Amino acid sequence: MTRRLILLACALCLLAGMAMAVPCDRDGDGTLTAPELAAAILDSLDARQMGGAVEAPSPGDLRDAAFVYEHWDGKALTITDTSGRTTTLTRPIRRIALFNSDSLEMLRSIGLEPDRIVGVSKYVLEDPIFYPEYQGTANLGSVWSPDYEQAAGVRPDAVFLYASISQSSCDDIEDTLSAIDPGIRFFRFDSFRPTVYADEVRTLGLLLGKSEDADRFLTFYEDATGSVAGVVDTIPVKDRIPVYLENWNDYKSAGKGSGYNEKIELAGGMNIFGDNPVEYPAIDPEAVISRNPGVIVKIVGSGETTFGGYGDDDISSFEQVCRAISDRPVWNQIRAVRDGRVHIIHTDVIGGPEYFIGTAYFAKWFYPDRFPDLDPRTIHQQYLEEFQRLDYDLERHGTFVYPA
Amino acid sequence: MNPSVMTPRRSIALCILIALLAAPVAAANIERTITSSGDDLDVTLTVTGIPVGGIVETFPDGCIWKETDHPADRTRISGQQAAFAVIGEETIHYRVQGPQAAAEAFTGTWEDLLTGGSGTVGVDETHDPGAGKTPVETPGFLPAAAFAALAVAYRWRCGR
Amino acid sequence: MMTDTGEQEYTRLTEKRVLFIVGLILTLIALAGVAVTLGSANLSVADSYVAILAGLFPDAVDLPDRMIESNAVGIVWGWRLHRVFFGIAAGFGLAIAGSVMQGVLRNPLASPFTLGIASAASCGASIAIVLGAGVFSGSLLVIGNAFLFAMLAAAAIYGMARLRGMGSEAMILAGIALMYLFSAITSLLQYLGTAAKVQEVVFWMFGSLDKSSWPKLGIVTIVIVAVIPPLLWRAWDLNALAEGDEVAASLGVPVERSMAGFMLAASLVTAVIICFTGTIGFIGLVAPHITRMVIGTDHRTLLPASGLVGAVLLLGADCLARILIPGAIIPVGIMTAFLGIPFFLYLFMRRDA
Repeated sequence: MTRRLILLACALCLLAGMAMAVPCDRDGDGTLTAPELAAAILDSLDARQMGGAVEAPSPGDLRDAAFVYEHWDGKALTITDTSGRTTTLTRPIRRIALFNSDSLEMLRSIGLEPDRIVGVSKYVLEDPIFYPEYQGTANLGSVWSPDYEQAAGVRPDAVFLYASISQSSCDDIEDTLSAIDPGIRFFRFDSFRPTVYADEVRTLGLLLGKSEDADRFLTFYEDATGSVAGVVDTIPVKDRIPVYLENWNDYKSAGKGSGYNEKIELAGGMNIFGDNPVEYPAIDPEAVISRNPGVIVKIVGSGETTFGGYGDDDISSFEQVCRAISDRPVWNQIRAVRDGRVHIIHTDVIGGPEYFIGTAYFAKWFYPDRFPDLDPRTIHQQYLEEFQRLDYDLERHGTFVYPA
Repeated sequence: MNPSVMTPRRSIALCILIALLAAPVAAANIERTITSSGDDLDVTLTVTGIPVGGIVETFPDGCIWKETDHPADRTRISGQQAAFAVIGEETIHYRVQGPQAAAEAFTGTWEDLLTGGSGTVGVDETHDPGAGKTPVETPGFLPAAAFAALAVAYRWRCGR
Repeated sequence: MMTDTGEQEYTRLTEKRVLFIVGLILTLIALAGVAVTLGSANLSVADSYVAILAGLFPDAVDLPDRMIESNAVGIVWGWRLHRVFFGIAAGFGLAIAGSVMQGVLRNPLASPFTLGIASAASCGASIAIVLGAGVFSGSLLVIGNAFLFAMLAAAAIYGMARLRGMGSEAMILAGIALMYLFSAITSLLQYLGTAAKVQEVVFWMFGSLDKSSWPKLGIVTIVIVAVIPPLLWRAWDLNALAEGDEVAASLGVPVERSMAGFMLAASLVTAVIICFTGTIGFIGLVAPHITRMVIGTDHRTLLPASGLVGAVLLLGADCLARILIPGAIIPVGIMTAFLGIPFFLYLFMRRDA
């Protein structure tokens, strides 16, 4: 009995190995060489157009072989995603279902064609201004409430999930979809965290055969972040300006583990509540007065302040919020309010894959003298036009910062 | 990281530069040029924007296949048809024996195996019939070294 | 004369009960047949049934191309079918647990929820999600914690009640105290957690059948099969307990042991179900009431019948939840909460409630 089981296991492994072989790799050595590819092409042309009787690879196999040869040096690709999982691929992924809308934006930055996306989260479909070309794509729900029938129905060969948030929900999605279709590959990318951003761009470029476009985007990105980091690194810690950041709900700041804290530090500021362990702690207004920040930044776009962003052209609500902060009782004692250094910024440019635009704004607000030539608006416009391929004129549309 | 700053002028220049670099992603196309040299017809296929693909050329009855400079393991002849596997090449030369008049009757189809596109081989309007000057420099084949250098250069541009 | 009418009454009642149970079984089968065809994938009704057959007899059924392309077999067998069975099992288990608790505590408002067991499970799940702390790890983290905390609550109720004597009032008081304790801890965790984790906790607490799978269904079925038949065997004791502790004792029922045994069984069934589904309320409360209204309070028939009513309710609520808003699945716990409202209004309106 055990022998039979072992035999069965061997047979299964063999079958799996065959399925995992690089397409059109005739000698099975794991590398598709040019002669092998040429032979496959000729066999296919012969069988289809020249009346030959040869055994030809299927059109799908041939196209996959062409991709592997051109983008992966003819070998299987092993990549590691942000959650540390390693996947080996012998064929490109052609039908991608995304639960992570930040990853979709990053994929667009590296030039991925929309027709390779077969399913998106509902947040993408609720944003026709930023994602016009995906409006007809299947709605997969959200990570916390996924629509499994849609997700399975679009027959994806790859599903993209978050790496560092909602892990148990992502695990559930993986378990359930694997049970429906064991052939689906799962990848977990964040696409909003500064520390892994560049690595993710490179990995995605390699995964999707878009290394050139990925490098082009990285040049732009590293220029934008480097121009800030280079100056920030020269500012001694004791000279860093204290900043009070308030999120979209009044008197809620950002604590140690939050992304906003990290972004303040990237721009050279010092978060006055950066030692608080809670992500969005409710703070005491008197503590703000006593810590006397030099700059106040408030984030809008969610919670109590759902306005602004790409779909809103009216800056007056930003002005109101700014005035309201300055008018808070006794807050005119705070030097940020006295010096008029209260700024409002929208989540669209400080959260998600566009965070580096927000950090550029922060840098300009924290140290206007050290960044005289920094123009975050131009960076933003270039990002939209060249990498997001959107016809969106920042001069006339969108409200993201006030005062700029 | 050097503290370069993105002035508006510099960013525009960067945009233009990037646009120029991006331009060579030309539309996929293959053109055919035929010149006559004596009894033979020299055909040149110019491949644009197809890093990996396949071409099937059909030459009319009365034409007899002679030779090509394309590698033997990337060429297959069957009757009046010749199939070429394109892997990085930009030009393919081949020669058939046949009358000048047959030049009009050449047909061909191509496939781009990376994008899935396909089409017919177009005729380059600027071909010069009977001028005697042929693109084939040495009798028969281009030097393999020069060809390889071209392929390597193309691959370098594709960033591999 | 008296015995004749008595016998006639009894026969009529028995007939009524049998008809009711048979009717429920038929309704359940019909509902399951409908439930398997519901979903946002592009499968026709016939396709769903063909897919079921194809899964059972893969060699005998020749699938048309469109069904292979849409992966009908994968969707039906990998997603829909076990969900339908899970709904039946969960409804069955929760309803019986509710009937048992109501019988033991002699209180028609007793249920796994008013006794704090569900709050404890939510608390355990929150600890797992927000703090990442738990007894098991990996995919069992949340499930294990929810189950453990639910059983912890049951043990606490038992322990506290023993201190004050095993009266039903003692148990209910203990249950309510626990409910507040665990709710407070859950709220604190929601405050401390990141936005994404709070989202997860909230969705877990809605209660849904989305997380079902064949292995989980197996576990729930095993527990139900292990626990319910002994419960039914002892249903007569439950009848006695329902009359009062003294009456039951005089009838020879070991009161304390029986109460403990029944509560343990009910808690176990509840815990094993809600650790997988999240908190699904009202089934344990409403199903026994409805059943009692039709066939009376003899627990020997009340238990299985209310189990069937619970299964029909939960499966029906899930079907509604899936078709109400096209493209979205409302968590079934929300749907059962809504269905509880008209029922309670009806109870409220009745003069002899």
